[in-house]
Amino acid sequence: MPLLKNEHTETSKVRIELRDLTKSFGSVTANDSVSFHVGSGEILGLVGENGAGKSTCMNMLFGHIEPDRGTILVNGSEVRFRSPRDAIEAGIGMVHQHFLLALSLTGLEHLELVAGRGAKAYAVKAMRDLGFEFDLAARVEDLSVGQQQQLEILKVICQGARVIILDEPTAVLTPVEVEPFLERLRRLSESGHAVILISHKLDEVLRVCDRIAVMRSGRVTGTFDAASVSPEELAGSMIGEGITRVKAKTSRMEPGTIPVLKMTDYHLPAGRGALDVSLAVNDREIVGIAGVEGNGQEWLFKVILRIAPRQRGESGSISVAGRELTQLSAQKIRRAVRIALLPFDRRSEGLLLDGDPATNLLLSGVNPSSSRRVLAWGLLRSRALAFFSKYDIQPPRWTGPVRLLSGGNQQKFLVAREMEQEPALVLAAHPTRGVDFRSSQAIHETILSARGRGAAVLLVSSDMDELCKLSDRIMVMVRGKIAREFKRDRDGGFDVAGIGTSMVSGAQSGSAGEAPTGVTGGGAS
Amino acid sequence: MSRGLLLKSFIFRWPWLTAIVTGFFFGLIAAALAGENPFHVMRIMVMAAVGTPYDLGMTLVYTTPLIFSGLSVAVAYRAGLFNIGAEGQLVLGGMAATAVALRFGAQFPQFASSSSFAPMAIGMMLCGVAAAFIGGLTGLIIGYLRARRGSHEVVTSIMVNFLATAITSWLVLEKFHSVDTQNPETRPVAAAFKALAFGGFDGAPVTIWFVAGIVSALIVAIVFDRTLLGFHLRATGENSVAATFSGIDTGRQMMIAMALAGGLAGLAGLGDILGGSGRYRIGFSSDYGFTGIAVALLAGGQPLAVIASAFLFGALHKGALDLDFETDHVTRDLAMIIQGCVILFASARWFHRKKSS
Amino acid sequence: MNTIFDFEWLMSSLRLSLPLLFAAMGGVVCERSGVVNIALEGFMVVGALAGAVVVVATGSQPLGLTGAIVAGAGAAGIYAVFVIHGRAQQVVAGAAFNMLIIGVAPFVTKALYGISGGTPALDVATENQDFARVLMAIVTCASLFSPFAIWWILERTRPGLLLRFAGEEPGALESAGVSPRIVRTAAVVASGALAALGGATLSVLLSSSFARGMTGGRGFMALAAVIFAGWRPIPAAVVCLVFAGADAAQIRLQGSEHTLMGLEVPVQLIQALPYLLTFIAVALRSGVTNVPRYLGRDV
Repeated sequence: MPLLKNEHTETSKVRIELRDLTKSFGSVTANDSVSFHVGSGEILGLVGENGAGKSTCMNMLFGHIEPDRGTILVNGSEVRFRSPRDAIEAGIGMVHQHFLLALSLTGLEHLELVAGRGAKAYAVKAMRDLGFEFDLAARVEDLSVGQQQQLEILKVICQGARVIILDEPTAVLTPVEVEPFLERLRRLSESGHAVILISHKLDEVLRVCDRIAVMRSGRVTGTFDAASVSPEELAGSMIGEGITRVKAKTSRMEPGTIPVLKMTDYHLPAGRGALDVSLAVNDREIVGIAGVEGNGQEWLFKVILRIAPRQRGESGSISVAGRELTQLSAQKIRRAVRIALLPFDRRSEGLLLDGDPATNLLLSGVNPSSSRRVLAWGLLRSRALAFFSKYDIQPPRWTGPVRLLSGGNQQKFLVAREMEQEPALVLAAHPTRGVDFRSSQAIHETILSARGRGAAVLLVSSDMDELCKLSDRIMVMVRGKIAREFKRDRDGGFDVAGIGTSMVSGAQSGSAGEAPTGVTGGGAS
Repeated sequence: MSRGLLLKSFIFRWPWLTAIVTGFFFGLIAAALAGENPFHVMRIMVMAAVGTPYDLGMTLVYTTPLIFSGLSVAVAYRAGLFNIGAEGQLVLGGMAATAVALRFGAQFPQFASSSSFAPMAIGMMLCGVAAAFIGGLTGLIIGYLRARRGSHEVVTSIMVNFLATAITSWLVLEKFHSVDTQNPETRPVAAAFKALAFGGFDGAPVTIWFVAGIVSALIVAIVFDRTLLGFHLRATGENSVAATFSGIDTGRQMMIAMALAGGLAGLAGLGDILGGSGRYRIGFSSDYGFTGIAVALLAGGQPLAVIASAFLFGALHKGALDLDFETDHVTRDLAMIIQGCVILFASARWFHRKKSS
Repeated sequence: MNTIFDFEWLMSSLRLSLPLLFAAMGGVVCERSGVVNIALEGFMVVGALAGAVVVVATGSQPLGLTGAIVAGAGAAGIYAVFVIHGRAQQVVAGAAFNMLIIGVAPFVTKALYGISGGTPALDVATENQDFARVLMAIVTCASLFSPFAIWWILERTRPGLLLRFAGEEPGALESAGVSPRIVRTAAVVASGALAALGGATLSVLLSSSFARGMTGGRGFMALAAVIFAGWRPIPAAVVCLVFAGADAAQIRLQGSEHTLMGLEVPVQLIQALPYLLTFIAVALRSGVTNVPRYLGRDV
């Protein structure tokens, strides 16, 4: 039983260090010389966008994968983790973002699974020390999310972990549960554990961590002392220093004045995805949504397309081209208004991976045959081929499963399929993520020309360059609300530093400067 | 290429073929263990399946219901569902057709006793519609419970199968019982409803229903491949998330699929009821519904392949019938053994190429 | 109606419930670990056949029951290989397995005894009548006790805990260093043994031979009871007793006119009652509650 094996004394100190950890998958370097350390009594925050390399790093630390180069040291001695078992034996425990809890079983049963019969006594003592409060005999489904998380942490402690890694712990907590959680984290570290906190919520990280390591593109771009770092420094390290001003193209199209997408006082309660949004996008306008991932952007799309599960407490109005959407079903909307969707997860939300390009055209309603019910495969195939050549998709005459195209080509195909329909509204999420430079440029051109033909575009992206290049206005979304809106300044660029800061500290709404107006065309709202 | 690699590429290319071969292999081992020469057994089975025109005809007679039930399971499968209820649907559909035929025959005796073309055409269509309607209704109920209430279709289907047996048992014994015999069967249907056998099979009752099966397979293939409805069904089965994002109501597609599946299964029994025996006999189905699962699985859900797969299982059934007489140690149950082995090997993932996720 | 539900009816119900109870316990164990078990019927046939064969060979009923348990465990092991290691579709594999067993049984009897479909009558010598009655009583008590035993194992022992986790959240098992596959395999083997014991009671205790089709859908009835009772052993046992009671009543009523509130009740309705009730129960509970979360999902 792990409890007896890892019998550390309460006062023993632990320190782990990652030195020059490097890992590549094929031609992609996921982690490049990553180094940081954390010891007993410390809380280290690990921040960075999705794709920055945090997951790979933690997977190596927890034994799921082995590094190509570099070492992991526990209390000064080099260790090699060949499986999570090794990591657990070394005293490293991980609390995943998606809990591994059986809903109909009790907390005590989970602890007994992990640590055997003696778990209860040990757990009760640990709960007292750490200030955890919940009923061990209650079934997991009866516990609040915050309490479930306490159970997950307790599980890890009962396995004898001295280093505790938490992956996005506050993503699932309601605002009211966050402060108690941070308090518990402090007590955890005070009781001698070393804590690594992976999070997108930069304000929380600043509040509770001792030090912060920032990762971008597989590297650690900075390690800061939390007490003394400024939000700007942090944001800069996350987003990228290089460009603070993006020069606008000289001929910048004027946005139109007809609102195409209009969300008025739209509110979705905090059960699943909280949203509290008023915004409008006019024709010939591109509105960019900046914001750290997980702040409601995905729900925004789902709610507009009416494919979010129905929730009580939904209120407000969403209209596209004058039609009120909240009363319509998803199919009716697609028939009424042409909406182009570049989804967050193209593989599971946008494509039929085992189908050929012609089949995938059907997915967005492209049906070039004269009859609505009968399919004309010849026309579909030639249309697909036309897309391939027009958008330079490789390989040129591909008729096999779309699964075998490269990620960038898949995306180009998706963009082609969606944009060729002359949409009135474009919902685009990370359109060039994972796409090479040339193709990204081509995709940007496509979006701009769709805008030129009258479309309204809502663009969600974590790529600052992309947002600044394409958007007419940029809104920063934090926790389901629009925190601030930015317009282009006289030089035609955006205040990137300001955007970054807003993403970081946007929890405080109503900061000095531009309050979100929501509706273009003046201050009247 | 090394021989091992050659074998592996063969296996992964045609997993169904490998499953068939493995299934037969194990079945013949069983025969050998029972004391018979496996090659002798194989020869008997092949001869019994296609040796004479009569044999071939009987094979086609067994193939007919399997085409319908195979299509039924295949349609549901392509939409992401399991139709275990084909057995119940075929029983209820067959009962509906019988009831219609008997009532109609009683109401219009002169019309019904005529064997000329027009009355027969009307009679067949009437029965077909009744069977497909009741079968489809059954499927729709199961589909509704799955799509709108989340009740798993396997559980509800199995229950419906038993309910169907009970309902038809009551109807046959209490309402439509044959006056001539003590057998658990109904009165015979009138001439207008009894399909004529094609000539070339030496008396084996291969009827228009066999052709109907082939035509149904073609129609299903066309619907799946060339209509928007077919695409929506397939998209629901292949990636329901992407389907939802593209505006498809996946719940509705599930109900449509189950209704279609039920309708097809409902027709499965008509080859026997309106062809071979001319009446509804309790237990007339030699597990056609369940064998349909095997048929569909082996055909990979492809409607046209279902025809070939149904023929294989029909031949297996017929071929094994003679084993009771021709051998000392092996019985017709060898067909079941081979069938079970084939499906077990076909359903396991060992022979399927690992899909990169 | 009062004349039907008398002591004789009660005894008849207990007898008829024997196979159902054991099979249902097998169903509970298997499905709670996350493996769908449509093959309960097949396991019962294995047990009925194996039990009968052993008794014919040795003349001993207890040995017959033991042989059935072993055979059931072995057959379930084969099933587990396909379903867990081969990750076959559990529903399809279960149906295929049933087909296979239904084919194998008459095959075996023909090979062993030259009779297609059944075993010869089992000789229970006259001196052994008392022993047979005692054995029957013991086995009946065991069957009534088994739901409590299964409950206790599931809720109060570590193997039961592992089994429940395998059905609810296999990931938790893995993070604790336990292989969900091994746990599930053990559960499947145990369920095969239990269901086979249920089948053996049919051929060894309740009648005197193995005959084709003697299980008569009881495996499915047991599965229906398990689902109706929400995968809990004691309620499932109660449901089995109710089903058996209905079966016993229906046998008593056969041949005579029977009315319930003036309406003629067809015998088929009583026969179909278990399935009808389960259907209604499943249909009404939208999204069946209590279903093990990982039921049917591979690990």
